[in-house]
Amino acid sequence: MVPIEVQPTRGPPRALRWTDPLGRAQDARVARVLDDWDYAGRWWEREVRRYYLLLETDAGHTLEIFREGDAWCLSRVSD
Amino acid sequence: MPVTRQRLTAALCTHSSFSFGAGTAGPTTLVRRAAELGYGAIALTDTINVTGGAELFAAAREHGIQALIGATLPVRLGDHVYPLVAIAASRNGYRTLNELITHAHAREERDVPWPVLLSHTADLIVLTGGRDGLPARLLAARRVNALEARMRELRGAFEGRLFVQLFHDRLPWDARRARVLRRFAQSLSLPVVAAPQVRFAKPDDYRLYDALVCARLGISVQEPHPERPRNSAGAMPSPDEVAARLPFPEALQNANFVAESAAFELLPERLVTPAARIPAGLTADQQLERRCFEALLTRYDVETLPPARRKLEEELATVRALGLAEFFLVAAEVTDYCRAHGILAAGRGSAAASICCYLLGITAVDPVKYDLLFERFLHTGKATMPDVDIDISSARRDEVIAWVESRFGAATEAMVCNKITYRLPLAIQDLGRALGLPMDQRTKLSRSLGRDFRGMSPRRAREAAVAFDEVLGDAPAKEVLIELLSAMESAHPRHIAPHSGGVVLSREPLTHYAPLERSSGGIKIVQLDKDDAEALGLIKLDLLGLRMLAALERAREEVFRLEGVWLDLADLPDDTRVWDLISAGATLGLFQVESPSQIHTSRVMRARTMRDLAHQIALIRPGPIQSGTVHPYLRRRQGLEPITYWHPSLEAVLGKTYGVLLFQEDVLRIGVHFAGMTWTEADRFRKKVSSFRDVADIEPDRQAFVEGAERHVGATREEAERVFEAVKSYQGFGFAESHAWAFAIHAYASGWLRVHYPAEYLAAIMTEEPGMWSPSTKRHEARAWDVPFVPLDVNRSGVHYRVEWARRDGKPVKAVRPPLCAVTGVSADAARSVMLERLRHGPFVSVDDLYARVALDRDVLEVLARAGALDALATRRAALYRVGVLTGSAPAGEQPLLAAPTPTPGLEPLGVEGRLVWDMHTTRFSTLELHPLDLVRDQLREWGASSLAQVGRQARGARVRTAGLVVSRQRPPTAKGFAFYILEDGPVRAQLIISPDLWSAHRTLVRDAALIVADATIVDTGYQLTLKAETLAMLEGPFAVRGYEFG
Repeated sequence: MVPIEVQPTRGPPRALRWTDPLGRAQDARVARVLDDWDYAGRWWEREVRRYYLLLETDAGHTLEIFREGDAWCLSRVSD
Repeated sequence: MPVTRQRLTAALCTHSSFSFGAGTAGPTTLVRRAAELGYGAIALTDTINVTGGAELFAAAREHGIQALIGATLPVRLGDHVYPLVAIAASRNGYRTLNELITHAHAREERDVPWPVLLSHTADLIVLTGGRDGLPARLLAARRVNALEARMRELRGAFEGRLFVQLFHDRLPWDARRARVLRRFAQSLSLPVVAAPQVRFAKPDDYRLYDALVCARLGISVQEPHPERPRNSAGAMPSPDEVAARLPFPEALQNANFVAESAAFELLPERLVTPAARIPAGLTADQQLERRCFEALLTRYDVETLPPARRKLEEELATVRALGLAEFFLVAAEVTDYCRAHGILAAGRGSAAASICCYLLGITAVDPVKYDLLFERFLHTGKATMPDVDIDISSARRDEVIAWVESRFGAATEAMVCNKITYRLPLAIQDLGRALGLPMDQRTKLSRSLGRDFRGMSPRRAREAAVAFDEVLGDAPAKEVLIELLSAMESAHPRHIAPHSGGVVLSREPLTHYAPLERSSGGIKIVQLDKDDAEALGLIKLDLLGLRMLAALERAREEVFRLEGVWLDLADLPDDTRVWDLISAGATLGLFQVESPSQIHTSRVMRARTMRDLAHQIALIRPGPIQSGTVHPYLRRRQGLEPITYWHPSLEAVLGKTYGVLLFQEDVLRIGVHFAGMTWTEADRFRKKVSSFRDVADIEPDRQAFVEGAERHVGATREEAERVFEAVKSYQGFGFAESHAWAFAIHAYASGWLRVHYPAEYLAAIMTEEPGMWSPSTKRHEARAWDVPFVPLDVNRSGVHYRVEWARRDGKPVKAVRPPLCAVTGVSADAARSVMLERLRHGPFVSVDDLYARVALDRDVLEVLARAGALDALATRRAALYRVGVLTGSAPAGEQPLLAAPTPTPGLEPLGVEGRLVWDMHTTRFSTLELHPLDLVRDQLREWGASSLAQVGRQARGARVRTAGLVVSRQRPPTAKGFAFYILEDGPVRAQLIISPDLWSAHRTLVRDAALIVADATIVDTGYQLTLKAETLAMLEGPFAVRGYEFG
């Protein structure tokens, strides 16, 4: 999982920033929210709830990100 | 133009814990949550039941919101089942719903076939279901044409009452699904409705819900399954949250519209009586009067007739006012049937205070003679159902119930159900399995709970941490399991089961009130428990199987068989010897007075009349114990302290109980005659006193009580306060006086038979097993009764314990013969087949002969050999060997074609100790006089332990070391942590008192020990040998006795 910075911290996300596997900083602007959902995790192993967003960026990419606690992670990118 | 935002006010698809394994919250919790979130209406839509309905409506009334009743119906279409939500739009719709549910339960698949649904549509509103529903699934499978066809059929059947259900479970693409469903509905001109499925009250309950689903599916949490939730979306959402997820104003509006369309009151104001048989031309009231007045003249003489007539006229006026004449007549039909068929039956409880019940033959107690209070049973202000409980010989209760069903019709009669709620052991089994705990670990954990914790609600799991630590140690699952258990509601239902005796009889088909189903044992039950049945206006008769009545009936038949005397057990002569027996405390085997505490009370009380006996029976109950009644009562009766009253006016109420509170009626009478309440108020007050759990619940009544007493009898505030405190402490279960009298009659009859026909009575109680003592204890008590046993014998034993003439010291004596059925694993049918063959072709001459003539399973033959039933044919070892040889050579029950197989080698006969062990393992007792403790006598001597017989000869206060077989374990909630064990050594028994400290120090020992060695101080001697334990040790023995347990 790749940590990702989401702006603004409250409300619908508009901008994203993360570091790709090659160590390069990546920025994206959110064009629209395609979907959102909840995943409660393996509660019996004390996993915490995740809140997922499926986003479309200005560049036409689709990003799946999730929030666990206060931290956001990037879980999937497709173009 | 301003846009008014539509606000959702109804939660239409709500599952409670009555959707067994698919909901976590009770109806009351859901109503409370709905009210908190601002809903104005809530529909309960549990899966094929409406069991939570009465609770829902009562809770909704309390919280000021509207209740709707519906159900989720699994509807079968070909090979697939689709859940569909049906909500009753009226009382008529409720009946339709119940018919559909009844239909589903009548099918092995427990579903509703599509054509049946389409033919039961009256006043039902239908929602198409959530994620598993027909539209969602067929759309996902792209079977749009098939879906359209089915929806058109539904639309035709439920014209204007079919709604496409929109949901959003916060899963990927749920928003899109909702839009697609809406578009589909629009294409067919069908309305949509916002109705997310609620499975629990708050998001935190998600874990418990998931675990319960896993338990229901029989899988562990590690296994994925489509029915498992993936998040907490099953929690009741706020109306705003629904509006945000399903932003379709018409869907919200339609939800509110459904709620408005389905408004009706489920709980009626009046009770509805079943239909009695009434001669043409008479009304029910006239028929009741006719029967009562006819009996009045035969039951009372010139002297007693006037007060009896007055009482009868008053009662009849009350019965008329309440419209309950048919109820009395129906109850009388049941007891008439029993009498006509020689079945012992007698009304118990508050009904025994009714002269109508007495004259109709429902009860055997004369309420005029004993001045019993009718108002405890019925009064004009009583809105609840009168209790008529009829005890029936347990051996023939099924016969009576079958008659009731045929008499009243299959559609109008059923047993009420019991809501079986989770206790810790069962919850550990279900949730532990879901968490992947292996079976042996779950079983070990359940066992380790012991008497301390096993009766607890799962909610209190943390209090049993010591047991969890003992079995699970530091396993990570331990804490998760405890958290899940702690999250359960205190009365979380697991399933429903038939009530022990409550039968509802209705004038209309029972589906007017609730669905019917068959229990796993085949008993027809209505999906209402006794309180729900009452709330819905049904009248219940309790037809209870009472083993003691079966024992009395059996003893009466044995006496008739042997002596040719037919006893009238309801009218036995008063006999000094019976009172002497009871006063001596020799009451083991007698009805209601055989427990250790009753034995002790018998000796102090020294009952000489039926009134004494009724009082004694009522005395040892939680109510009198907690109100401190027992000691003052006994001391005042013995003249050891003066009889005083809290206020002079109470002498009239408490005079016959020496100034103390003994009966429920005393609380009622104090309410009316002291505190100036009406009977209705006093009855409500009595109920509160007997059932309150928290002092805060009863305190609000104090002021009215005190002021009432000041006003009504001029009591001072202090006096009134004192009486209130006394009444308040009469907490928990106490007897109605009428009930105590009803039981006293049976208790006296049991004592009378014990004195006059001990062998017949012993055979009867060995067969029917009433009371608390094991067969082994009764067998040793028989030595004190001077009744010998004769051995189990395949050529003489039958199905029941029988008395036969034997010879002892050359003289004839009645002895008890155990039946073949006494052997564990031998059914009545197997025993009958042996008896029949014996009757047809004479006694069996050898094991080979028995084997060739009766087709018995090898297991049965082996256990009969081990139990000694074949002793007359061969020694036990030889018989067992022979059974093995024969079963390997030819089928049982057929004459062999070939010569007899190999002869039996010479085997050493079993010693007497070996026979005892085999007896105990196979029949739970032995006809030998040897006691299990005799097998470890050497060890006991080594320990320096005296026998109980030796201990009994020592004085009070002596310190002893002794031992005994544990035959009873009691730790009643009223005993402040003390436990009372009964140790047995031959015919001698002793009560061992275990203090709370000792209990805590020896938690495992007191749970597991079969034989206990104790250092103790003698507290009491004689029949009630009582020891106070100081140290405890456990001795390994060859077996344990499955004795009485309580607390």
